[in-house]
Amino acid sequence: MFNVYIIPAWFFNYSVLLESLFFLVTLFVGIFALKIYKLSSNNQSKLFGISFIFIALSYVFGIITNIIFIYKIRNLQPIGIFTYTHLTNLASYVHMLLFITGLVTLVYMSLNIKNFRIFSLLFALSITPLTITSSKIATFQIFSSLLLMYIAGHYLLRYIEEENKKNLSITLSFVLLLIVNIVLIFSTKAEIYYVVADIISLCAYALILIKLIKINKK
Amino acid sequence: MKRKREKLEVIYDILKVIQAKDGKIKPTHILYKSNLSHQMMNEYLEGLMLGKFLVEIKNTTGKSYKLTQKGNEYLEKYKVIVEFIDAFELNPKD
Repeated sequence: MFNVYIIPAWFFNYSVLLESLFFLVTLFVGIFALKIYKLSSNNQSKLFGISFIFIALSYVFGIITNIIFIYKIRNLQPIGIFTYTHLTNLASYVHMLLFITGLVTLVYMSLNIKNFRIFSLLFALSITPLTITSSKIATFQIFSSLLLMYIAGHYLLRYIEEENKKNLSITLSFVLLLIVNIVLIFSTKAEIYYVVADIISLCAYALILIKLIKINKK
Repeated sequence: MKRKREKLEVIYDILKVIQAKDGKIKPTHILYKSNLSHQMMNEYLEGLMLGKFLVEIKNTTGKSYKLTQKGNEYLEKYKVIVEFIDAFELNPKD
């Protein structure tokens, strides 16, 4: 049994809508980065694209989890032999695995090294605790916060050291996503945290989307 | 910023030189126009052929390089590529 996020009932539909938006934005970023890779053969673009595709796929399972909850609230019968709990746990677990994989790929990319052993080590160290712990959500939030701390730190350092003003919105986005993950650590305690986290996520992804649209217009 | 863009700019310059010569050029012209050492130019040309940005053509008059569809697309989308790599802090040398 997983500890679950406490989400207000009135927010489920909005949450599905917001997570669908996050899915579309992250998918767009992933496809755009892979297009840049195809045009330039820049390997970092490929890694960046793959990581965002993983994150996009994780949102699909986040949406599925919320839809199952909506069915549960409306007291509809589950399909087949699975109970709601089984389905929710499975979808949540896949969501967490995919999200962590996306973040690990981003951290690996930010390290700027070509070594599969380091990638596999990072991956194993991030995934193993999630598979053995009973508090999966708390572990997931703590590990994704740690990974996002490295990613946001990477962007923040580049912004300060190289005065690259062009990465400001992306730096801000990752800082906001880090805040989201920290807020979500508390979302097993009170329902407001989940709502706040989704709103901050919306701001983060809006910044990324605006930046991409501007780049695409060049 | 200049350091970061170096490789992408060199690639752009080489491909632009080829495009300016109707998409086909001899290596001596590239060397002259791209302002690179002979060794560096060869390294770039090898990388660009490997990445399918250009192809080598050998005939009786010697060898020349021809821009591919991918090479043309790179020139067309150069600004987008550079902006994306800058904004998302990707390593352009990779």
